Amino acid sequence: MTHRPISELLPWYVNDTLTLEERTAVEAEVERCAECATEVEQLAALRDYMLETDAAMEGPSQTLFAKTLARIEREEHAPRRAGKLWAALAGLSWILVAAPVVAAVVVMGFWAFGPGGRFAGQVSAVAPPEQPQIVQLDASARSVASNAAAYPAMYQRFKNETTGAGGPADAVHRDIARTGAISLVVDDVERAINLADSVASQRGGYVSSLSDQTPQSPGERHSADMQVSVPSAQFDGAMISLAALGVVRSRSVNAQDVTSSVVDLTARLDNARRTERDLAAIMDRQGKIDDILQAEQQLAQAREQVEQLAGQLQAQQQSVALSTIDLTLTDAAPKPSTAAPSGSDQLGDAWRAAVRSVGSFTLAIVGAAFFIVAYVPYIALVLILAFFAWRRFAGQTPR
Amino acid sequence: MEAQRSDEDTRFLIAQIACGDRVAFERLFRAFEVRLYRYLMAMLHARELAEELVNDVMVEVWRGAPKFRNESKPSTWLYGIAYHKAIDAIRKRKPATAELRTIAAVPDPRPSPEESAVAGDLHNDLDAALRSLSPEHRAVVELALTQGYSYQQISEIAGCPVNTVKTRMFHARRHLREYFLRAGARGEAS
Repeated sequence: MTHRPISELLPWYVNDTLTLEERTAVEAEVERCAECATEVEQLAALRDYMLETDAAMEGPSQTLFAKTLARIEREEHAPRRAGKLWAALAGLSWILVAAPVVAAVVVMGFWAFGPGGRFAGQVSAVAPPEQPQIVQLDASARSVASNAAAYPAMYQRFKNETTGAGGPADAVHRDIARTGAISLVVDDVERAINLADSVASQRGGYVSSLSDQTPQSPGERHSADMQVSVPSAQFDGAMISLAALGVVRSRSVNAQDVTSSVVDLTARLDNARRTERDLAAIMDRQGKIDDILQAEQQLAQAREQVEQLAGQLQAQQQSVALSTIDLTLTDAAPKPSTAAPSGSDQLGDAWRAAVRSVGSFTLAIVGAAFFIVAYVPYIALVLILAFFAWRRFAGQTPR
Repeated sequence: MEAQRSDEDTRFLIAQIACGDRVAFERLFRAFEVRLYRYLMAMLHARELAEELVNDVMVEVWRGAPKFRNESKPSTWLYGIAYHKAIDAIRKRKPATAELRTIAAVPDPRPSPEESAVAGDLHNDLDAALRSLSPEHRAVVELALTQGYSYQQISEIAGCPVNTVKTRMFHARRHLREYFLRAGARGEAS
């Protein structure tokens, strides 16, 4: 290496990011060249100053994350608007194509959307607007499962940190009741129900409810609502497995810390049981009839309270032990009719097609009228030019 | 080893963010917000603008997470976004005809290099010298000396060849050396 390339490396010698070979070359050069040695000192002083300045600098405001998240939420829920460039280009293209294309557009409009037109029947077959989003989420849904597989250690650590397990929080037992909800678009709802059932069984859980809405008429989509209960330890795995059954449209997880509620119920139950025992002891003693009757009445109340509290505690403990996942399954495409349509169905279809056609025709007429009104100046210009050209041509033609 | 683990963690967080995981996004945000903010402050010297750019960078991370390629280091990816946002912001806020150096000093309410030289304060000298660097030169110095990146990583962040990084650093050093010489001369005089 010559002096210049080695000298160029000095800042990275100071920040200690050179390879061993580069470092050795720089060290040799610094020993040999006084100028380089001085520069290393200056760079080290500069680095120290910059690091001090950096450390002394205040951090950003506390609300920065909230602002960023709010912006993301806003952008994700707001419809995409065309950028300024596109708007400008669109405006320009209107001017450029306007006059000569007017006639062609009007004729094409009639040809395309008029009765019996080539695209007349396709108006209702336009893809739903959410389609591209579903495709994007499909990739995401698949990568959730692959993330867990590709980064098992980190996945576990991340999960522990986010759920509060595994860390210092382990010292204090927390009762967390977790629920989840996933909405999926699937190729076949029937198959997805069976798969979800087997996911639940494999993870030691079960399907706690199922509502299957089979399509009654052609064009409807098959959908089903399921609730899957799985042991809490299996919750994350079940969420990933269930999400992989189709294209995720939405997914949410809700975790509720019920520790204080469980502690409170346990304490109240202990108290109620103690009261019950005390009252039973009073009953055992010999005493006045009135006292015994009163004690008996209170004992009945105490037992009722014990039962209520025990029930509430059991429900709370169950919500901690078992997590529920609400699953909504929807078919990707409406089911085509398999049965031969009846005569009335055919007439109904024909009527609906006719109404659609009239609607399309009316829209085409109104649209064409708008075009003509909007382009009157250009049409007039074309007609005037054509008129003068004709007159000139007619005037030159010998009679 | 620690840095490697941190990189792996960040990769995982980015993969989770690609799945729309907001918890992972918050963790990544918290891990980088202060570093990015300070880097952008050093580049822009304007608190609100620096915060706005951290916001822009993190929104870009949210959008771009599915496209993140695993071969690059996650933090260089984030700094790459921040680098380009900062350069764009500096270019936007200065008049088109003015030169980079004069403009870099425009929003700076502190004394000019000449004024601070008179004041005889080495730190002011250094500060002024750093601020008078062009945005590209300042970025290379910041990324190397404050953020501790290698020249290969800086070339990745700035999206330019390694030789360009070295050349930028060379010019920045030459510029800064004048201030060291001035400070040295003052030290000898006193």
